[in-house]
Amino acid sequence: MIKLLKAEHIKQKHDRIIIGLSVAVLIILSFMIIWSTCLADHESHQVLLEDSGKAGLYGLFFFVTILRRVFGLIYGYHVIDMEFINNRQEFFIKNTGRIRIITGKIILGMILLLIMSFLSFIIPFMISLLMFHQFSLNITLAFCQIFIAWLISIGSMLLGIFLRFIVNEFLLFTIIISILEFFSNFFPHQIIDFWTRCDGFFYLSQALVPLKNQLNDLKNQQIYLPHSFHLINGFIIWMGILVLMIIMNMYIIKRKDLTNE
Amino acid sequence: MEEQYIIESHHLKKYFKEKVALENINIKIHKGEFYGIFGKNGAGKSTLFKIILGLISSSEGVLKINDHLSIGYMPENIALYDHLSVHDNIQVTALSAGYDVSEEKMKDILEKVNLPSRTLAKNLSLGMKRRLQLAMATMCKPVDLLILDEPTNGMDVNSVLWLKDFLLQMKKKGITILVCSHSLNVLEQLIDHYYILVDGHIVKDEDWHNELHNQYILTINDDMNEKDISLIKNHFSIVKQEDDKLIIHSDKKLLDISRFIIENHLPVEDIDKEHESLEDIFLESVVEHD
Repeated sequence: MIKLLKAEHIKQKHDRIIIGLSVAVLIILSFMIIWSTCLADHESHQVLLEDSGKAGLYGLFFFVTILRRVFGLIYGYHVIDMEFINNRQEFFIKNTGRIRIITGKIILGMILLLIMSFLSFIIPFMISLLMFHQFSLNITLAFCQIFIAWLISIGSMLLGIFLRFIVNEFLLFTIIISILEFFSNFFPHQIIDFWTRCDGFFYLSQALVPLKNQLNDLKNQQIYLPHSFHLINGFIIWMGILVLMIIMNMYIIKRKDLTNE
Repeated sequence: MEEQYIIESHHLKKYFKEKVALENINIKIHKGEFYGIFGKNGAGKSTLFKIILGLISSSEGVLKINDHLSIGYMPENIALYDHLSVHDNIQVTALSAGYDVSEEKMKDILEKVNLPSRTLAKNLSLGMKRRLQLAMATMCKPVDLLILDEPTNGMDVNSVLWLKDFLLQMKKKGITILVCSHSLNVLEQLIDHYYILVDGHIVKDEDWHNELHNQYILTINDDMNEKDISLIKNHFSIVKQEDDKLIIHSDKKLLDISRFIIENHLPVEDIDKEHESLEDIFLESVVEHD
């Protein structure tokens, strides 16, 4: 398994889309925190974020609600797509094995999402600390919220992997998810309902209440959490969905004829 | 006792919707032998390979494959990670298959395929890409069976000669090799057995050695009489008799046949091996069944 992860790591660490996507997410996060604390006008200036712990939580919230889904979906789609470029899947399916390929990708993806969740907390935290020197850190709270953000993100990645087996065109995929994410009014509400219910945020929002409470004093900004499920129920449902998505992806890669894409 | 094959198919069929890709395919692959599968584009060669590899399933028939077979496969298309170096492409393939390539072994592989370590795959020529892919299919893990789909595509003369030598080394190691290629003259000196596919059917299934070595052409002169002919008949089987030519079949070597002719003062002017090239056989089969 270590060798498989090492192989996947070599493939991904030089991949421009993955590097670009990760760097873009972190730059947007950094810019958001700098803008909110320094560059915004007096009315929008967030004094709250001059506290480093809260700045970290704000970064995490921004990641979970806005960036995580697009990042997870595109990442999940691309890690499978990279095996299909130039029809190279036949070679790698045969010389690696279908289940081994997808297992390696899912595990490495989970590690990357954990790192991204951690960085989305730590980068705003460090920026705030360096700029305003107000150290505050509730390690337990930060750890729990990073963990929840990670659990929510995994779903997006698995959905991206699944969608790669359905939609072959990267551009078409990007357009569809962008419209679903940012222009949802174009779609019937049943589709949007289904789309939001595919998401961990819908089930685990109760677990983000401590984070919301920390950020309650943000100016001109109201943090909305759906609170659809009780913490334990939501957690069980979401774990079930994640397991189902993993099984579904494993089944598809095992059964689908991937040689005639 | 029944013969043991590492791959054996019985009445294998493959349909793509209405189109018949393979029909009634019966093949038997012996361990350590070199097999050529020939056919025009669309004859079903790649489909047959994909079924053997388990990449697609057959529609009907039985395919028996030895469970413990480690297969190295090189598809027709280039399947490299363009954004990785030669070194990393080899490393990724080995690690994915569960093997680690030490730096020493890596150096050895790169020397064998004569490729630069740090060059990105996208910057290699087509011939170099094929060599790299061959190295990835054969050297990153122990291989019992090597399946090569059009390995000479895009290769220059030097690369083709390199490939020939490389495959010969593989054969000497006892690796079973299955190749389909349009470069029949290259494979002529390597194959043990061949199949010719036309429109998804096997139209020829022959042992190449038998065809190559057991027939001789005797150029006879006018002094040849019935007595001489019957003497030849007693020792060899006559396949064909033309005006001044006599085609005989014999398991003996050319030297032994020459000695027999001299000792018996037979009026033979010349003796030569019947050598129909693989290309001729292929063209005949295709024309006959088209």
